[in-house]
Amino acid sequence: MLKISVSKSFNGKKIIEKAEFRAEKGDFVCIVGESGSGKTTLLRMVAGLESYEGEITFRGEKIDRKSIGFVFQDDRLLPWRTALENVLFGLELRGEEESISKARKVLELVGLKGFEDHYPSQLSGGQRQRVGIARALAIDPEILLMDEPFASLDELTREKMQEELNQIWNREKKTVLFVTHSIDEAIFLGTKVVVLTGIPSKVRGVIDISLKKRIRTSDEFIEYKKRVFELLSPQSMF
Amino acid sequence: MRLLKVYGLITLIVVWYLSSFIIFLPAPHSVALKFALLLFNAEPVLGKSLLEHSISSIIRVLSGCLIAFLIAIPLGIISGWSEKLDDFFSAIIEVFRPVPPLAWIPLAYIIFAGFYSPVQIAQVFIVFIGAFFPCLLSVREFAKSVDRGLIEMAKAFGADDEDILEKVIVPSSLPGILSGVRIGLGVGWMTIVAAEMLASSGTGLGYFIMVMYEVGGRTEEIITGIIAIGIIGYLMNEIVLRVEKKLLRWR
Repeated sequence: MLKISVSKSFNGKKIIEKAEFRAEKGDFVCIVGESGSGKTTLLRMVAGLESYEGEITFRGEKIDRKSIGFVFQDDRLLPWRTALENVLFGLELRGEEESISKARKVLELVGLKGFEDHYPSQLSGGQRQRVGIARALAIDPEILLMDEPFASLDELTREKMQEELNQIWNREKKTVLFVTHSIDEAIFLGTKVVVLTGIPSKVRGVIDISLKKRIRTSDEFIEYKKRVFELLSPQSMF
Repeated sequence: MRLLKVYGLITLIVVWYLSSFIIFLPAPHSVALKFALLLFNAEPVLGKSLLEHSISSIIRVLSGCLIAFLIAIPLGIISGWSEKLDDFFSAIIEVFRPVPPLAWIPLAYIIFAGFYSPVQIAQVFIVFIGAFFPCLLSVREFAKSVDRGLIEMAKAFGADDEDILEKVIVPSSLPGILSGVRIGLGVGWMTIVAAEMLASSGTGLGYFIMVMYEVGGRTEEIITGIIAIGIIGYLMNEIVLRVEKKLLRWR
């Protein structure tokens, strides 16, 4: 279980006020909130890229950086490495240079079979993001952190990627923390939606999602959307 | 494109022909003949062929450049990476950078006077000075502009400083390293010719040109030397460009 209970100040100003939530193994937790609500900061804290007050524990212990896979909003691929070599990056750092077959398998999993030797400059935005996801999955992380990975993609590609990510998660059952500003995306992907609002930002509410079917136009989907939206809108604060 | 380049060369030769009627300049064909003759056959005054002169100049340039690159590349990466070290080195660099390498020639000949084959050592040293700064600056610029996002990505995947240096900063600086090598070789090549003109080393294209001037204005030989310098300079640049293209395929 992943437990988060953190605060963060920046230049003496509090920007996150005791944000608290937890994720069970296999949970897909989506964090939504307006821009500037510290969603990304929260992920960076979990990844150990940002200092914080409070506690972040995984199975009761401090998180080991090596158990984390991070997918960035901008793909952050190494431009001089091919798709396959990019996927190998994390494996190399873990001394698993030999696992080319593993990297190939993961690339296939994200639908990039045949693109192993392409450089990032030869791939589309969606494909680059897939490589980014494959790179994170390849190290077989216990926690997968995703920071608005689909934000820069066009709508059609985005929905396709959401479907695929959902399938991958169904298969791999990783614990995922997924930051997004899209309520739709959060409900579609998440088993839990954490709503961050206010200044300094707090957890306004956590909604458990259990959809019978992942159809965006269904009544249950729209009902969830309403609930998230209510938590997000400022009126509900008073 | 290619055709225009050919036209350019033809124009040059035509202008050269026309000028050779007006000023004291040998015609292209007589220079060409001289070039063909001296390329492999010894020129009587110095007793060495153009090829031998070229090879000794090239060896000096390559040794001076090699030493320069071995120091400039790591130094450029380090000062591009660490702002503190960059501050430390930048004062030293800024003082010496604007000094033309040729200004070092007299001093170098004096400093190395006591060494075994002082002229050669001094010349290698001057090439070193000439190649060092352009290479350092080029590498430093690229090392400085490494994408911070990539460094952060590496950290998120558990990379330590050594990993980041090896897997992010060095490859990211590679374009700077290669253009540094190319510019360094170019400057080094110019410097060696000048250095060879100032002291007798018995061989070298600069020395050859100077002697041909001193023994009575042998313009054909002088131009032959100039052409050799031009061709070698062009080839060195072209070789590094090819390597660049190969190594930077991802661009």
